[in-house]
Amino acid sequence: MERRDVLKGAGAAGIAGLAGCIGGGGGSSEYPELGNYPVEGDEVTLGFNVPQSGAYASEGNDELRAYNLAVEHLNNGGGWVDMWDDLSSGGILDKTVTSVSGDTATDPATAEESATQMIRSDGAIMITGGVSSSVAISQQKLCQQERVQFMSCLTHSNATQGADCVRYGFREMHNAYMTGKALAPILVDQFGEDQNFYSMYADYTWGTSNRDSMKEFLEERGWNQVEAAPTPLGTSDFSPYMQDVPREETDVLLLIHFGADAANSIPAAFDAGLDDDMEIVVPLYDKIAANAASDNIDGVLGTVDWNWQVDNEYSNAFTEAYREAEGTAPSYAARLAYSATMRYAAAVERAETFYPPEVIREMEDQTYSNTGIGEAEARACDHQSMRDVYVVEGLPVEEQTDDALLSVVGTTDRDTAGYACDAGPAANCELGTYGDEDN
Amino acid sequence: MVDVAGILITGLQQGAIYALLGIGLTIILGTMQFLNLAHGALYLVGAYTGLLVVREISVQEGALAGIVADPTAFGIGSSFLVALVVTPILMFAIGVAMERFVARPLYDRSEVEQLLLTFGLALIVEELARQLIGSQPFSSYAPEELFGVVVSGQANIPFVGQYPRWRFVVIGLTFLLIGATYLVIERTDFGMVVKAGTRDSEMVRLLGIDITRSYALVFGVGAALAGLAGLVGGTIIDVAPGIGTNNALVPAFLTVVVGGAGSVVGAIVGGIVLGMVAAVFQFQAPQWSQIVLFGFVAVFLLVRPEGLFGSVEVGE
Amino acid sequence: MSDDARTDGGTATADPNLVDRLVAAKHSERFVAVVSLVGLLAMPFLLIDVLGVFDDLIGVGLGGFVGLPTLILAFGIVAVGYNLLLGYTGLLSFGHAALFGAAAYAAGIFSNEVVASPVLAILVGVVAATLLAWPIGFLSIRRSGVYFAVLTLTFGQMLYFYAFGPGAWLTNGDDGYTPFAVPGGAEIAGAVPTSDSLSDLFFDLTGLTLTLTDGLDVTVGYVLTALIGVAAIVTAHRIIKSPYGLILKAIGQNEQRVAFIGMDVFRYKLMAFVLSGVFAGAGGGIYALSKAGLTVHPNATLYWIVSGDFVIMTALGGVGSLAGPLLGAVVFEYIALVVQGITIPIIDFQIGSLWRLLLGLAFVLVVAFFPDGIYGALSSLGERIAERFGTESPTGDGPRPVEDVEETGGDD
Repeated sequence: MERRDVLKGAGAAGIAGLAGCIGGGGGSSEYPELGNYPVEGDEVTLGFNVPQSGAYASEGNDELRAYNLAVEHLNNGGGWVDMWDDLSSGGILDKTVTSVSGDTATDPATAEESATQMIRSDGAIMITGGVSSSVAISQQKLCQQERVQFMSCLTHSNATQGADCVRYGFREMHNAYMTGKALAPILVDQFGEDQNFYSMYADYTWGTSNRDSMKEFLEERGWNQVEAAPTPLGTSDFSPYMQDVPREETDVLLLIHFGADAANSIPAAFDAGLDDDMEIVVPLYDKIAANAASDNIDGVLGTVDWNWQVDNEYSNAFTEAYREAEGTAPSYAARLAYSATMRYAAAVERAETFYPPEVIREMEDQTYSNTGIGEAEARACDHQSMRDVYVVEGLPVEEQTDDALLSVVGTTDRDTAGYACDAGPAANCELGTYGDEDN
Repeated sequence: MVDVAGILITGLQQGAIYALLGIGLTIILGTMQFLNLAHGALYLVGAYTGLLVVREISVQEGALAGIVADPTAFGIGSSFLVALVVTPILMFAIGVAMERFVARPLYDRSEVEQLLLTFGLALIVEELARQLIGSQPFSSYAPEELFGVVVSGQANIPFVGQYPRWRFVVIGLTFLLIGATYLVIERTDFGMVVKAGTRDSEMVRLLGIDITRSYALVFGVGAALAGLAGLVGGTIIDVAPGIGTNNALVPAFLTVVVGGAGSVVGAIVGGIVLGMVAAVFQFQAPQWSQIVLFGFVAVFLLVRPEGLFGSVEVGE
Repeated sequence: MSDDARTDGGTATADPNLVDRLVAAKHSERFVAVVSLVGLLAMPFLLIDVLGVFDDLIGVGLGGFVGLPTLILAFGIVAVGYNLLLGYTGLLSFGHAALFGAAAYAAGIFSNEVVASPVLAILVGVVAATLLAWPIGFLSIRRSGVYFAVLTLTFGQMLYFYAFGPGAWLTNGDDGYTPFAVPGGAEIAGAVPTSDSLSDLFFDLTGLTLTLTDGLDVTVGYVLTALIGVAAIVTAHRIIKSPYGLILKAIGQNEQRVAFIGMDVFRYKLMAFVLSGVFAGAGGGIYALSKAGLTVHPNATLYWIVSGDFVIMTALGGVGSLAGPLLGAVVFEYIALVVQGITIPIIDFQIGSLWRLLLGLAFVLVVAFFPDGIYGALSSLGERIAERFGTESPTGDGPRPVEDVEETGGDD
């Protein structure tokens, strides 16, 4: 047992005469204190830390809606709770689920501050959320230190479960590497050999890892990168950047932008008339981006985590429940949020404790097929789910509806999109400790 | 390949918005010796006014749907025109109120206290916007057409090539506003007061001009210009609570110090100079563009502290 | 104590009563050192345990959390130094984020590239900020008033945008930089992790379990921070009480008069700027230490709004007093990090992002109605109480304590 745990277990009591609590904890004291374990009382608190301002606020608000739906289902039944054997209504381990929400402001520093409060003041046992990989990474570093589990939601950088991976973080979403593997053959197939491409990317971990992965897999197939131009996250006027793209040399423009960035950059590319001279590709597509550029996205290719049109019982059940609650079809940000909460709850139920190391072990090497994305495996080596990648393209204007702007044109199976534990981003991953090694 | 014309147009468009902001700030600063760090907040209010008018009037189920008999008759284009009328009127009223309730009690306070209090006010306005409208960004609201003329999409211009049409409208519109302001200041009694006030407000008072009323007028006009800058800015950048401090306040101050405090011509020229400097580097080395912009102003302030057209430093 | 005061009341006495002695001792350096040490060590207890009582009592989460006191002190030290500039010399800088941020990055980079020693890293932060303050000050002080503010702002913003874009090779750009990213984190003398609490340390040394409350069981890092805080306060006190501080104050009140009597105003202003840079460096270094293994980001360290935060802390707490800026940092960070999480019971209303509005309102009200800030308002209240209970002749016919006579020029 670690020295710190002894101390915390004994030391938390203090002068206020709370000594009676030691050894209590509602009978769940088979494990020592760790992070915010044990969970006292009949409620358990989850922290939903999402961007409610900044470039990714729309996605963040979508996530929050789905998180609240997940809490509702966990407490009162409905959605996947009725379908998963591990779950039943009445909360997690019979504790009512409550939540605190925070605003990351799409900024790692603010996110870390907000997550600190959730852990220290609100006693959150698990934190989830984050659009923007730098935000996810800053939060999961904190969570690893604090021994609080972090369920990554929308984060697509290779680093999240690569170089910056942590034991306490799990990611279900695919990453830039998998996007590159899935998209490159399709692009070559569609636009031909020997094309010149130009990458314009958001200047942080997500953008740079997409730039690198697209370059790796496209150049492998004989394409040639003309240039890669960074844009600051949160840029809203892209027109000077678009003027800079060499029209004669470029055959394909990769717009590695997301959220409000993409909603601005895609129309700016069309406004500048770049579509006359080249093909435009959005490696990671997004509902908001598609919405903003709906007039122009006919045939524009990209990947997504999921789309509500994906037809399987879990996908349909979530879509239906979300539609009933919110009146619209869910985005994939919403599915990721819902799934992260449910997978955590199920792992706790299986572990029969909130003790983080046990919950983490429950999730490692787990093969599952109940989150609407087909069969996936949460690997123990890097905590990345190996899963199918959906390739989509924009619909022509006359076929678009409010809910459907994109259509799934292909699914790259996880054996093709995936990679081994000693390859790709996983090769750089050192997960760190569980926190109970000395027990 | 760098096309000079493209840089010029981008610089002109950005510079014109800086100039609008700068004129508003400089006439207030020059006439009343009042340092207004809430100038960015006025830009913010202008942008949100534009957002509300454009979104609510254009949308059938908007809050104003009942007022207009047939909302569909008003396209998104005409609602921008409505905003173009509503914004300066509203902002003028806000400016007059601000002069009365914020600035007037502070005229005798020190420069530092003026800065502190208006900085606090800017924070409050930003937070009110966050609370009332929400912290998420709204995408810019450039209209599709004005007076039946399509203003979206790109135009093919000789020497420039493809360039978004709306940018030309922005340049035209802002220069129209700048020109009108310039004429008002050069040709009217109001302008006389501003010009005289920026030189010697004691003298104006001695001449028997009701300076209090003029102060309110100047503040109102300054606020209206900042609001119009916000309205125009909101057609190019996303509207979010932070744009007042992030996108407007600092450029406004840079414009005024480069142009020379109290000088309207200085604000116009200063704004365009800064817009050009930023634009050149936005094309050449985008990551350096802001660094060069601030560096330019720093060097300028050290070499020519009175600004391009100013005669004295404020607070010297 | 009050009995004492009453018996002495009204009569001039050679033996000043306790209140008078306390009022007088307020100015002695030893007193300042002791009070600040006690105050800083008590702060976590007050914030976490005492305010935390309300959590259980009325269900409102007023209590702070472990880690909050360190952050407060990091910013508080910057504010104490900033006050030398704004409160005494009358210079409004909007560029102190650059000094604070540069120190944080320097300390962080040093911790990873050279050695993960907290003390050395903070020292490197101080050196970096001082070296940076010199040229920025040297250039900016050539202008005054709003021009000085704009100049400091432009230098700060240049650094901010550099850290974001072209300097990303050094700062890791928008992803943020992780200081002390080494196994074991920050360790004093390579053995004692700064994240260890006092009870951990006690266990290591004796093998016995020490039971302390969260607020008393501070980390080693906090003890280090508090010691630096005391050093900073004492240094600031000494500067203020020295002839040097008097000149700074005179410059703040009437620069021309100081120039007329032959003083080199430029040199004094520059020294004030550089000194405030030393404090900003210490604060930045501590900030980096508090972010060991986490993220230092340009938005939270270098952006001009952070400079604005220093202005708010200093003015809110009270310019021109030693304790004011510290108090301002406490109020600022408490509102930003604790009040924001409060949910008001019964109506179930979460304060959330309203905290900024509350802070803005508090700031405007304080600046408008209490030009000396919260501390100024409190101490004038305190003086009135001291007058009420102390000897009633402050200008007095009775002999004044020696310390007080010697300090008459000062002001704290």
